[in-house]
Parts: sequence; C-alpha cells; structure tokens
Amino acid sequence: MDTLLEVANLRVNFRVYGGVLKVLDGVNFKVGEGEKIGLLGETGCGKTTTMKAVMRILASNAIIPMSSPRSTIFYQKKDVLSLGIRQLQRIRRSSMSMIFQDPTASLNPVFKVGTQLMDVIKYSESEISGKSPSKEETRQRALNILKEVALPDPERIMENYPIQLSGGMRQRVCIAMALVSARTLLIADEPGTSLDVTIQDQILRLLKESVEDRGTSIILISHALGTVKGLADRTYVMYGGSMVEVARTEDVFSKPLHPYTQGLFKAVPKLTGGGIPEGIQGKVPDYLNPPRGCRFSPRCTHTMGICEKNLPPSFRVDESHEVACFLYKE
Amino acid sequence: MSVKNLKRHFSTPSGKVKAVDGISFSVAREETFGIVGESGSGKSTVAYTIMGIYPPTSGEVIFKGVKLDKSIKKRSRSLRKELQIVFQDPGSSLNPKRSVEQILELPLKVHGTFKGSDYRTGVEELLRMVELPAHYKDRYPRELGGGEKQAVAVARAIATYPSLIVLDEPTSALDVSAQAKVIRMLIQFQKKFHLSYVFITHNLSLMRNVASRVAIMYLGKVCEVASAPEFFTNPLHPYTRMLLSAIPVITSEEENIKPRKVTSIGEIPSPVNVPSGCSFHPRCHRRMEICARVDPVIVEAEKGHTVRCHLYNS
Repeated sequence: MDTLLEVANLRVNFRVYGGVLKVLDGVNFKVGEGEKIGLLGETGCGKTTTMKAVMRILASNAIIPMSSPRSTIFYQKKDVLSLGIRQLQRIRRSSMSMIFQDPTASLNPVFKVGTQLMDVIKYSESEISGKSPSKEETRQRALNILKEVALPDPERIMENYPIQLSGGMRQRVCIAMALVSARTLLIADEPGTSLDVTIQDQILRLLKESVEDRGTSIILISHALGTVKGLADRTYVMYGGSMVEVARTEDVFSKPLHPYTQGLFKAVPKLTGGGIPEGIQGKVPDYLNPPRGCRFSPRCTHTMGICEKNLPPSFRVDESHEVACFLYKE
Repeated sequence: MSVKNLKRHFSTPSGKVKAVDGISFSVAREETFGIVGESGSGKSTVAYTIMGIYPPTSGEVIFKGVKLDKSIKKRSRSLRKELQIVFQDPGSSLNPKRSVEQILELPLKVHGTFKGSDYRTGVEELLRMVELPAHYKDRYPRELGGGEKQAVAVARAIATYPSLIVLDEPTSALDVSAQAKVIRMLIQFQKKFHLSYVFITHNLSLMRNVASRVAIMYLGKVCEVASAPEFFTNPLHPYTRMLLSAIPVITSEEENIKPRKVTSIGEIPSPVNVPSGCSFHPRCHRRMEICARVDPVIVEAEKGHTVRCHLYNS
C-alpha cells in the first residue's frame, strides 16, 4: 500500500493571553491509500487540531515551531506546510475534504442547501477538468450525490435552507459535500456524535460504503470507541498532543498496551452489565505548563522515574503494533 | 413517586405538538428508573413536567402519596426541597457570574438545610462530598473542567437533602472517563441518602449499568418497560431491538448479546405530524396491516415487562 499522508514530529502551539499553549507535541502518523484509519482520544487531546493542521485551516493564533526536529506533513509526496495558497486550494478542491462534528455550524444558514452544494461541485469540477460545468450538469450531479447519501426527495432538499432539515439530514448533506471533493482523503471529525444512535449507525454505514466504493482513504476521529471499531483498519490512540498507541483495530481493542488506552477502555460502561467502572484519575494536561516527559505520567498508575524526565519514543511491539510507553522498552 | 397518564402538549404555529402523550410509570424508594429515547422523543419534557417547570396538560404526578401542584410556583418550599434536577449541560446550568461558593450557598440558605452560621463550612462539606478540593469554592464555572462542573451541579442538587433527583442526561456532555466518575458518585449518594433517581439518557450501555428498570420512549409514548437485565437480554419491541443493534460496542461479548442486526431505517418524525396508528410503524421492519390504523395498547408480555406493540396483543 502506498503512503498517502505522512505526518512527522508535528508540533502546534497557540498564542493565548497568558502564554503559549503547547498543544501538539510531536504527532506522527501515516495513512495508506484506500486505508481506513481511526483516531481515538478524549476531548482536548488534539485530535481536531491535528486534522486542521493537515488541512491547513488552523486558527490564526496557531504557530508551527520551525525548530528542530522539523514538523512535516507530506500529502501525496507534497510538503503541505510549505505549499502556497493556490496549491492548497487545489488540494482542497480536488482531493481532500473534511466533515466537521457539528453539521449545523458547518452549513451556511443563509444559503439554500442546493446553492452551497452546487458551489462545491462547480469549484471542484473546474479545478479538475479546467473548465466550469454547465448549470444543468452541476444540478444533476448535486441531485445524484444527494441520492447517494440516501436523502429522500433530493429536489426538495436542494430548495431547503439548513434549518429546515433535521440533524441527521444536515450531516448527510455535509457528507455529500465532502464526497464531491474528497477523491483521495476524507477526514471525518466525530460525524455521528451529535446524532442519535440509530442515525449515527446509518451515517457510519453510509461513510463506510462511500469510501469503499471510491477507494478513498478515511480518517475517522471519535471519542466514542465503538464507532471506530466498526470501521477502521488501523487505529491510533491520542493523548495530550501525541500518538500513544497504534495497531490494527482488532489488536487495539483486544490487547490494548498503553496504560491510557487500557484506562480508557475500562471507563466505558458495557452492555453486558457489570457496574460502572472506574475512570482515569486526574484530567488532561494543562497545555500552558505541560508535564515534562510523558504527558500521561501524572495520571498513570505505572509511573517510573524515567517517565517524568524523558518523552517516551514509540516502541514496536509486533509488526503493526507500536506504543509510546517505557513499560515496553526491551 | 408515580406518574399517571401524564400529557404535555405545546401549541406551535405549525400545529399541536404532543411532546408527552399519556405516559405512566412509578419510581420506588432508592430505585433508579431509566428513561431512554432519541432526541425529540419527549424524555426531557417528562423531566420538566415532573419538576413543574412545564405544567402538565393533563394527568398527575403523585409524590409520597400527595398529588403535586402543577406549577412549581405553587409548590411549597418543603416540597421543592424534596425534588431536584441535574441538567444535561453544566456549562449552561451554572451561572457563569457566580463562584462555586455562591452557587452552592444559595440552596443552603433558601432551604435551611445547613445548621450553623458559617455557610462556608457547608459549602466545603458539599465540595468534599463530590471529591473536589476545598479551594475550588472561589473558582468560577469557566475555570472548571466538564466533569468538575457537573460535580458542582450534583452538589447543588444534594445540598437540600432531596428524596428524588431527576437526572436529565447528566453525562452526555462528558468524556467516558469523566462520565465514569460522575456516575460512581451518583451511585454512592443514592446509597448514602436513600435517593430515588429518574435517569434520562440516550446511552443504553450506561443505562444497563445504572438503572434498575428502564422505559423506552418514542414520540411521547412509552413503548416498553422492563427491568434492566431483562430489557437487554429479551427486548420485545421492534424499536428497542433497532436501538440495541445500533449501539457501537467494543467487546465481542457485548456483540453477542445484541439482537441480530436490525438495519436502522428512517428518522424520528416531527412530533407535529405523528404517523397514524402506531407512531413507529413507518420505521418498523415487522409492521403489519393493522399497525397503520390502530394504536396498540400496553400489554404485559411477561411479568413486570410491558410492551406497546400489536405483535404481542394476541
């Protein structure tokens, strides 16, 4: 499998009143072509920030420090961090797209769904073929893509404003929009979190079918562990601004190695009963003054002397299972 | 507490919304009664109606053998003290301009539950109960994490020594780790103060571990009521099966107890246009000809397990 996206040593800081938030602290990950990746982690661990960095849509107070080791993001062998705005737009219009968590906030409330969708199609098509498609053609493609995401009565939906649609329908519209331009990579940031379980189930099934049909890679971000299990080939677990564990999805769930991953899985109430488990003590690190060494060490039950001094590198446990924890140092 | 044939309708420009349309249940002392449903099913309206925030359109709420006044304004102070609520989003249910101390002091003053002149010790006592350090009393809600804010909201509810707390999705805004902590705390208080809970959530896995009995709501009506273990091992209503099979789970043991895959279809319709007959029939995979015409009645399919579906009406 060829590598589509490779992120190495990615660090992102935010300048805020009172100091600098050191949020991402050396993120490393890879996405292969046609691969389905899951990304797990608690609120505030940097999942969305990482993806925004990949899309180059970070807020204006974000800084990517240029000190060594240099942060790099390679997408289709292009260095995303050094691309100009024209080239970035080209990527966003023709090959990479993102679905955001809250469909209500990501659709413009004052334009009809059809207008917004047709705009995306127009720009995406003119980027790829070099000429704008006709109005009739654009409309036809918009109707087709709405049908594809299983929206009933697409003609009516084209004429509706976002407020006239339900949450599930809005998220389908967002997926439709993303599918238009995401020919190689689709980033889905908690696509089902704000929806009910039955709707979430439908949305995830739709995403899975769509990416499999097109051979698109997908990164599914979630803090709901079960959703990732049903979709991803490989799963990354993120904590405090770096990846702490990666493995094939079934391995992450059957034998989690990092103390954080283990704690996270234990905290989930099970359908089989057995009472309410214990949560992980403490809370996510303060990014203004992050702990030295391993950022999980203040909450960890296995902390050793070295954890508070050095940042653990990734140790390879088996062929595809890597974990950033000194417990697994040979 | 028992609720009898409770109804709450709202008039809107597009028609009458029957948010809660005739539901009945009872909650025993020290019991956790769970209400599950999708958004728009009317579960929060039930909570607000019990609390008297919305006066019910008809039906009654009986608490410790006394029929409650419809509106919270007419209820006596001693009654208000007995019933408390914890809201879904602690970010908006705590006043951002008041410190934790001010927030927790108010119920102590109003209801006189703290014997003593220095309310500060009362506040510290409450903070200790919810496992927050005493110096948090000078903090403002924005300086707290999600789980901590919800802990303050819980402390505010128990400050009056209530006998029943309505928990309206207390953990749906929290991460699993924070959720586990808040829930453990709630269970501990239940034992200590002999509390009854009405626990509202859309998270069925959580419900399995917290509630002793569970009711499923769909479009303002109850579809099925059963004890929690029974509910998950022997779900009867097609909607319950659809819900259960849609839950994403993480272990294979959980996968095994889920009902055979029922593909979920459609969405909960607008409560303005409730479908005829059984309101679930357009999404049901086992609908019969009768379902579109006649609304089924609640029957007891097994002991302590009631269901509202034509499949069990024979």
